[in-house]
Amino acid sequence: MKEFSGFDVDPELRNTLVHAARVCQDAGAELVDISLPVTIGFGLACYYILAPAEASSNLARYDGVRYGLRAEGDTLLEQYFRTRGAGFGKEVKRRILTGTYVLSSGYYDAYYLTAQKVRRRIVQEFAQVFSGVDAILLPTSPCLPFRRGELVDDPIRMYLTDVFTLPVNLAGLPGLSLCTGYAKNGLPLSVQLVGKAWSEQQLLGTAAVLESRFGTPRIAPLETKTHFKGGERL
Amino acid sequence: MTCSYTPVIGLEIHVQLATATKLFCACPTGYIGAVPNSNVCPVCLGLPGTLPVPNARAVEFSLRTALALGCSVQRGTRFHRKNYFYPDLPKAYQISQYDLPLGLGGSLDVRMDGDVHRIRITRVHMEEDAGKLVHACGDGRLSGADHSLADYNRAGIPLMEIVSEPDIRTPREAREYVAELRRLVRCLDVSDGDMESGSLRVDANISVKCSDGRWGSKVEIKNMNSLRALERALDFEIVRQTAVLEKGETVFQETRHWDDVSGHTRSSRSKEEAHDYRYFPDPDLPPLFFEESWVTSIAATLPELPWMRRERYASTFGLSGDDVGVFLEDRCLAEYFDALVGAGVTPSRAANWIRTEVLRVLNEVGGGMAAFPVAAAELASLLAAVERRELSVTAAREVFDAMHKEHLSFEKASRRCGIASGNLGENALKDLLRSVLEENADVVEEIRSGGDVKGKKIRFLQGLVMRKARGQANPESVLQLLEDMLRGEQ
Ligand SMILES: [Zn+2]
Repeated sequence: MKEFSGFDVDPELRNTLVHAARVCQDAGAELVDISLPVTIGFGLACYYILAPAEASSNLARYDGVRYGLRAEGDTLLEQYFRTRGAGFGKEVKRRILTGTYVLSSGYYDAYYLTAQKVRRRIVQEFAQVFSGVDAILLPTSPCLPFRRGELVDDPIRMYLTDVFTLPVNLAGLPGLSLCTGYAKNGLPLSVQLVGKAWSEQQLLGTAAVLESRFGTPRIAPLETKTHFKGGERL
Repeated sequence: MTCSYTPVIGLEIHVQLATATKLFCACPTGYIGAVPNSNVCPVCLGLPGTLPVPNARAVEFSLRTALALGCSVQRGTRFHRKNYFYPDLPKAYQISQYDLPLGLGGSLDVRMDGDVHRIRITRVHMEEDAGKLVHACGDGRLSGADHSLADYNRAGIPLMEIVSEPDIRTPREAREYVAELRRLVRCLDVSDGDMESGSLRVDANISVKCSDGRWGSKVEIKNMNSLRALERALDFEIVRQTAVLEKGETVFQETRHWDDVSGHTRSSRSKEEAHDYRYFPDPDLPPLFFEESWVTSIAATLPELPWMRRERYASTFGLSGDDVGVFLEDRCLAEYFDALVGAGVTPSRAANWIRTEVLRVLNEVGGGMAAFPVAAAELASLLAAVERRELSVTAAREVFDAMHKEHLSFEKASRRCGIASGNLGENALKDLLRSVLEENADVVEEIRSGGDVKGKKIRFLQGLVMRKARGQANPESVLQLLEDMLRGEQ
């Protein structure tokens, strides 16, 4: 994919993608270069408007009235503030605030509505590409897995790691991540396969062929365990 | 110089749809008298992970109403979320409609003193109802209450909101508009339209325009639970707003509550509570696209609408305004009337009998027309007998009572009342006459000797015969026969 070359992708992940492409070719696939400029250029921004908007509304039911945590207050408003203040983690609060903002009157058109239009463009772009190919191979993430909580104070960097996966959700397409081996530090490497709408069966079949050809061990080397310790609540 | 003031009124009416189940789940809708929180499920309680499924019947009911109001029905419609926090709102958003309501731009004609006023309808849309809060202690308001109890039986019940343009000019016109709309929803069978129980809720937007060009801000009035309350609240508000403008002051935009006891509206929502509802399309509900044929078939199967019925009863049957009014309020009654007329009863007699006898029985027994035991065909037979003068009105009432009390057919009820069906045969009648004449030989003698100049005595005999015949004789033919017999035996 053309746009991918402009991204700061971890060299080991870059290598595994090249390797995966070769494996595909060996298995009989024909490789075609594709281009998804809108998807890669705007997908992430689009997602981080739409998803928080929905989340702000979906999570509003956690108000301490019917179930879950309730932090009492002298007034109803105070009970809402305390309950939601105490119950949600940092990233969730950030998304609720972002979502509330982009849906507010005066901002709706500029953010939410525009993002919906971009989403439509992304759907069309994928459809265009899929008129010529059966599946798309691309990185799952531009970087190796980060520690839990490591990027919570740098949300932009954290969100950027989703740049290749989120557009697939926006387009409503099936996608899967496939372990292709392990990095020098023991963390898993992966590539992503995206299929046409309703092509889950084919997609899983393709992935099974690739997996057997990679010969990926099912269990990660022991030393990686340290990476999943600690970290704060997300 | 003095100004004149014109009220400008628009109404937002919420109609509870008479579906069996809620708008987005399968819970029953009958919440009145139900144990609190008994008609609920994970969907209408807004539990995490649940998804709504639209109730096709509610959509159909709304479509029916929109079509009857002459709205243009949108080929596609969608649901929006209206976000706000309140304990009676389980999901903290209400599923409603926003930019693509089901129906747009209809109208409803209001008749007052022979004039017709056309009130334009802005839109008809669907939404779900909220739950109900019961505030313990305090003055019944949330502030000051010890605690509040939430009942979600009503949450998710389908509502249809009908919004009018600000075309209404007087409180009476507002009242007539609501009354006509209520007739419509009842006629369409989409709601019971009961204001007291909250099946039909009216919010009014009212401002006053001064002839010098000044306008008061729009004030919203809520909590009017009857047509009379609506009229009174608007009357009060016109006086209040006019007085404010007269003093050169400003009418503030606000929401006011009508208090039926004190007869006042009072300010109820402060500005700091002004909401930004953050409407956006509900991602859980795909847009609805209607098949042309479905909409067409609903339009084609609309019943006779109140204004059409009014026109037919007045011009075809020549019924009085009062009669028409009674039938328009109750579709079952009107259909009963139509069945009587269809069976050959003269319209005026049918109307009269329904309004006096049938309504009397319904008042005594209760249960409404649906539970009324006398089939129209049976009552028609009875009235036909009256019309043929085979039965006096008094006897007919007696038979009618037997019919509804004992659920008897006309035939059986007549026999039960000692009246064989139809008229007494001529021989039987003559026998009866002879026996009366024999029993009253003295009167017969007086008549024969010319002592009945004024015809009083012969009418006395006629009365006796009629009583013995239990109404089963035509009074005129009895008189004729009496005269013949008295003359013949002379
Ligand atoms: Zn339910």
